[in-house]
Amino acid sequence: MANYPDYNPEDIQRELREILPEEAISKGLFERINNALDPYTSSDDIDRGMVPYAVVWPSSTEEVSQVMKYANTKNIPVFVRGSGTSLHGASKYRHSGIVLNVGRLKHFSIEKDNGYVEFGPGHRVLKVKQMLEEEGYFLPLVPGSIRVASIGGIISNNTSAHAVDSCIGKPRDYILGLQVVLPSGEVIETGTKSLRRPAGTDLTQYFVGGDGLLGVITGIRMQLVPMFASAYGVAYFHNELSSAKAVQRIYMEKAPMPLFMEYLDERVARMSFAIQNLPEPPGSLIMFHSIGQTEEEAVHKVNKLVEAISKEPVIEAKRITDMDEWHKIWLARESALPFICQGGKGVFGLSEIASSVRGLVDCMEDTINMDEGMPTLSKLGKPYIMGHLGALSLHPVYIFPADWSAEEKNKGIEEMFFKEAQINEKYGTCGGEWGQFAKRTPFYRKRYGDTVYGLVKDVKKVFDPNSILNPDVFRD
Amino acid sequence: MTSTDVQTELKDGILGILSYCINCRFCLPSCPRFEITSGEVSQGASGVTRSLYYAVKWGEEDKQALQELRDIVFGCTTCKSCEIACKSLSTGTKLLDAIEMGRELLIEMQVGPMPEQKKVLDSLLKNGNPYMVTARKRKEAVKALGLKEYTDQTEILLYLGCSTAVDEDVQNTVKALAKILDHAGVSYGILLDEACCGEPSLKMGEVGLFEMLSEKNIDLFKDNGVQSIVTLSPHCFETFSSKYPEADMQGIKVRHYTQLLYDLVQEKKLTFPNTVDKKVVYHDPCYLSKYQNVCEEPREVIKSIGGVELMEFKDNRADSLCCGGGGGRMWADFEAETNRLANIRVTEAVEKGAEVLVTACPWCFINMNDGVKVTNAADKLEVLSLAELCAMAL
Ligand SMILES: Cc1cc2nc3c(=O)[nH]c(=O)nc-3n(C[C@H](O)[C@H](O)[C@H](O)COP(=O)(O)OP(=O)(O)OC[C@H]3O[C@@H](n4cnc5c(N)ncnc54)[C@H](O)[C@@H]3O)c2cc1C
Ligand code: SF4
Ligand code: SF4
Repeated sequence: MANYPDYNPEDIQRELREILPEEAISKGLFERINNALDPYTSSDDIDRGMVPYAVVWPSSTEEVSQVMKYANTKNIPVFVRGSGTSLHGASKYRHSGIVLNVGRLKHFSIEKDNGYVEFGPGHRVLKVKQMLEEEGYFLPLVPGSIRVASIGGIISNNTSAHAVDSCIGKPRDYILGLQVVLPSGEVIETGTKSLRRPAGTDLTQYFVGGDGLLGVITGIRMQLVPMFASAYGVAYFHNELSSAKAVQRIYMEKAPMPLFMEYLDERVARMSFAIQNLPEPPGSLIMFHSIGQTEEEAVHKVNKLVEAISKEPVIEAKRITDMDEWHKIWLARESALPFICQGGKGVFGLSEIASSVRGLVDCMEDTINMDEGMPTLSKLGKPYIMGHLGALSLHPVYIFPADWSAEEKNKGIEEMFFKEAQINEKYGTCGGEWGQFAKRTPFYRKRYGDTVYGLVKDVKKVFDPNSILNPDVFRD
Repeated sequence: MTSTDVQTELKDGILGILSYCINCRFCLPSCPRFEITSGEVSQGASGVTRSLYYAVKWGEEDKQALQELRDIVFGCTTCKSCEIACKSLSTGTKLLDAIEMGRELLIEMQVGPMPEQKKVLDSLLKNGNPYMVTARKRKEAVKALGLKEYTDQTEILLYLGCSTAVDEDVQNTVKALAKILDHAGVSYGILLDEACCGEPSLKMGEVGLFEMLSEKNIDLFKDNGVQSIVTLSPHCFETFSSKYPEADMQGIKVRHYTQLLYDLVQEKKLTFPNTVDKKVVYHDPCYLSKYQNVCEEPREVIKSIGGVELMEFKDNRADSLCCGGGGGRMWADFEAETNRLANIRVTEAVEKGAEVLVTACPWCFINMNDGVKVTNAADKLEVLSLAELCAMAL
């Protein structure tokens, strides 16, 4: 990791005041601390040496540019922050620098006659979704953290979250262009204003899913997606492996992929159905949501899925016609994590395992046995498993008792990520959420080799020769 | 127990509670305080508790930092939205317990409360109310209301609370309620010597003072053989129901007046002969909706009045936007705030086309009335208590 000069925070704050309005700088100790934290803090606290010099809240691209120019000249690391919800430690800082919080970059305009929407990165995802829905459009990204994560954070990660990639793709497939401030402070535009995508080199693709390594995204242009009709279904299985087989079958039968296909293992399903006053589920389950231009099309797709699933040993597979039942089942999915967490009297840790289609059944088995050979996880037994099975991704969840020491929780979380890496490596996958670096850096090096990792670092060097932008995302 | 012991116990308590928080920030968007500050994370929900956590963990002693912490911790309205969000979306962390302990700790460390709140605590100690009015004057003001006094024949103790006792606008609520109860033939009476329920001292972190006031009231209830209490304020209601020792309150039924009105309407003891042809929007007080889940009762009462068109705020029931008055904030101003919550609420009501904003809490009432003045909405929107609205239909 590069060495950065040590500065007196007060000097930095004073100098920042010369380039930014007063209200765009937070100097208070506690605001600075809060902007240096990420989830799982309970097991991975920061110390005084990691408190940022200042938090800046630019409200225009020009202000972002000023900050980057200043930081680049003085060789001060800049940590871009959306909402700080990265589960892989991308929003956690390990030494002093400036935090650039994008929370006030919030322009928003729907250009209906151009077929796109332009917005700032600082909106919470839910807000963008609501604003689009008011005009009859769909936001094609649906993370569990929808209420809190910033849209810029999601796009930097290029995460499709709950959605099934084979149905609607990744954010990358909808982003037409970006406004980006480079680490040098230079402002660039990428992409196009046409719905006709650029052929050939398009720098947009470097920044969407760029893990925040190459530039600060300050403006996003995204294709408008008209709202669609929906239909729903559910299937119950005797065990975890049958549900994995059913999903394999869906791919093999070329059944139309749903927008969502969520999974709850039997333990999780039982608990979360109970809170929603639903009858006890007969086994593990997948729930799915298909979309179409018309209701008939959506219903047809659900029926096709039911048909494919029914070719595997299944307790029951059906289309849901009662919206009340669907809402309750969906709520059971949404409340599953908090409920197992609170039931287990502790804090949750979740990792993300992705599988190939062919490996799905074995991958499920490996995930179930995630505790094997792991001293801390073994104390907790088998993980709870939920996730986006249709998208071939699983979230094993461990509940770390609140009264465990920070050290012990930390060990458990490290073991969880170790196993995540091991399983993803085995199936040749790499995780479809949360980005590629930070806690995943060692995995990345192993998975792709040092040549590839070296290339990524070289690309970073081209954009950011002084390595001032989000340097802690790499964990060398 | 020495102050050091108390501090150690509080610090352990805070760290213990916050060991349940994973810092996912799911509670942040629901925090009203976050809504009216400039978006700094430390001003809302888990930002408040994380600040507290690090101050405790690092044994922060720097004076400026501690003052910063005081403004953050005492800025919370105690509306409970964060706990509700954490319970349904994350780990179920008891943020408010930590915040209240944090306030207690800051008082022990002589950093809190907010300067203006010190006078309020003094008044609670000296006068038994937070409004700097002597006990004698308070009693005279209540006497002047001409309400029936509680006797051993009375069924319901109408517990006025301090705002009703001293604020002339709020007094219209109890006058209206008395009219309704007389009309419905309810046996009720007041006790001239009631002390503050203690809620403001508890929320400002003066737990000892709260205990003193609660003991005074419990003795008063016992001496008068009280078996049923109806409160005017949701804060007194929550305090009697959840904060007074269960053993002392055994055998005493506690209700908020909206519940009593609902019961009367259901039992057909209360019907409204006149119509009120108004568009009415109901604002849920946090201590009724989020703490006590009393959301439908006031709405049912409003709906039973002919001519009323009941409207809803965008955020209603347990999602209601706090008026900003809880947690001792009636007596403090905070530099970090760029707007007032009540103004946001009033503006929404006006935009909706409501003619009357009804609420059921004296503090919401005061704040909303101020909001009407500040936003120059007096010619468009009237603020009424539920009791006043009902009395208009009698
Ligand atoms: C309980 C919980 C549930 C979650 N569920 C999901 C889920 O279902 N699916 C999923 O994919 N993720 C999920 N996440 C993870 C997280 O929400 C995502 O990774 C999200 O993308 C992070 O967004 P953020 O705004 O919090 O970004 P941050 O954590 O603030 O930042 C993440 C990275 O992006 C960079 N960055 C942020 N904004 C910009 C910008 N404008 N320009 C350049 N770089 C930027 C940051 O520097 C950092 O490196 C969940 C997290 C939690 C806590
Ligand atoms: S929602 Fe709960 S766990 Fe998440 S930050 Fe808030 S208090 Fe912590
Ligand atoms: S109680 Fe209300 S004001 Fe206080 S931190 Fe929680 S949400 Fe914010």
